[in-house]
This record gives sequence, C-alpha cells and structure tokens, in this order.
Amino acid sequence: MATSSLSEEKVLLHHILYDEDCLKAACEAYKTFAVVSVERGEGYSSIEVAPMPGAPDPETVQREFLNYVLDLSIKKYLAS
Amino acid sequence: MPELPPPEAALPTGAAVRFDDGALRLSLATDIYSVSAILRSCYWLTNRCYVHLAPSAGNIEVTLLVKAREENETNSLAWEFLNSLVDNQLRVSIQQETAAVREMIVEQAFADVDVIDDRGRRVAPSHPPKVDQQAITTWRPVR
Repeated sequence: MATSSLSEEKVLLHHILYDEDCLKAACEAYKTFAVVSVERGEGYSSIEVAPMPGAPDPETVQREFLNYVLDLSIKKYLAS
Repeated sequence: MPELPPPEAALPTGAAVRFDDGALRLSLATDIYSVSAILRSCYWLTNRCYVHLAPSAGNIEVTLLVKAREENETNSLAWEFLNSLVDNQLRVSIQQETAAVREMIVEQAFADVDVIDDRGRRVAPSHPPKVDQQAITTWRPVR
C-alpha cells in the first residue's frame, strides 16, 4: 500500500474543485506559518507547503492548509 | 452498537481504498453525485478530518484522514459522509427541479402586473390577461 495524497510532499489542486483566487488568499493567510510554493499547470496547481522553523508537525500544517483552501473554495462555490 | 465495517471491505472493489497513513480514498461517480453535492458534504467534514479532492476519469476521488487518527473513527465518518452525500444530492436535485417555479413566484412577488394566471400558468407576453374595465371603474370611480 502507498501513502495517500494527504501525505505527499507535492499536492495537486485541480481548478475545477479548488478555486485559484482562494488558493492565493490561503497562501496570503498562511504566510506567517509556512512558505507555500505554487507551480501552475494546465488546469491544476501543484503546491508544496514548507512550515516555518518551530512548527510542530509539517504534515499537519500542510493538511490544515489544504482544508483551508477547500473551505474557501466551497464557500465561494456555494455563494455563486 | 456493532462496529461499522471498513468501507473498503463493504463497498464494490475500487470504490474505497485504504492507505498506509490511515487515509481512506472514496471514488465517487459524478453521474450519480454532482460536484455541488460532494462539496457540500465535504464542507461538513473539514472540522473533523483532512480532506483532499481530485478528479479522475468521470469520478471525484475524496481522500479522508481523521484528525484523531483512529481507524474506527475514519470508518464511521466515511459512512456518515456517504449518507450525507445522498442527502445533499437529493437537495441539489430538488433545487434544480423546482428552480423555475421558485423564480416564477419571486418574479410575481415583485412584478407590477400578473406574470402567472390564477391557475399558476405563466402568462404569455403576447396574450396579456383581460382587464376587467368595470371592476376598475367600480374600484376607482371616475367623477
């Protein structure tokens, strides 16, 4: 068995599910906790979250970041 | 209450996959569950587990990992999630089916003239409802 997408270093966020503006907003909100690298592909963004030194668990920071982007995207989707 | 079976053991092959890190991936067919229903159900989950969504050949793969890191908790959340999907899909379908009626009711509420007749049918613009001139005269007599 392999590890899930939630444990990978780079995670793909497809734009049909994750809004690009929400991803930008989440990067801005997390800039004091982590450095988020975003590579833009065709219809998706590849992200890598590097927590600031002293962060308790890098995986948790990345997963919380993914949840935050998803929350923002869903709110935007339901409001449109 | 008996323990719920793991979804990967109870669902059709490939519909649920368990990973080494304890996460569970559910493959949801978009011709059964709309993106809207999937997103609504995911929103309800994000306080209790980590969620990642990815499209894959007519499906949406939802990867769930419970924050508490207990496998039983993942199983029960996954089953709750699947039930909530059915619920949300039904809401989305009803919303789509009744959209025209709701729009017509709101339109009538804000319109100066009737846009629906007394039997609930839309009044065609080319056939305006007959105006009872006598009623108008009676209601507001001309002096």
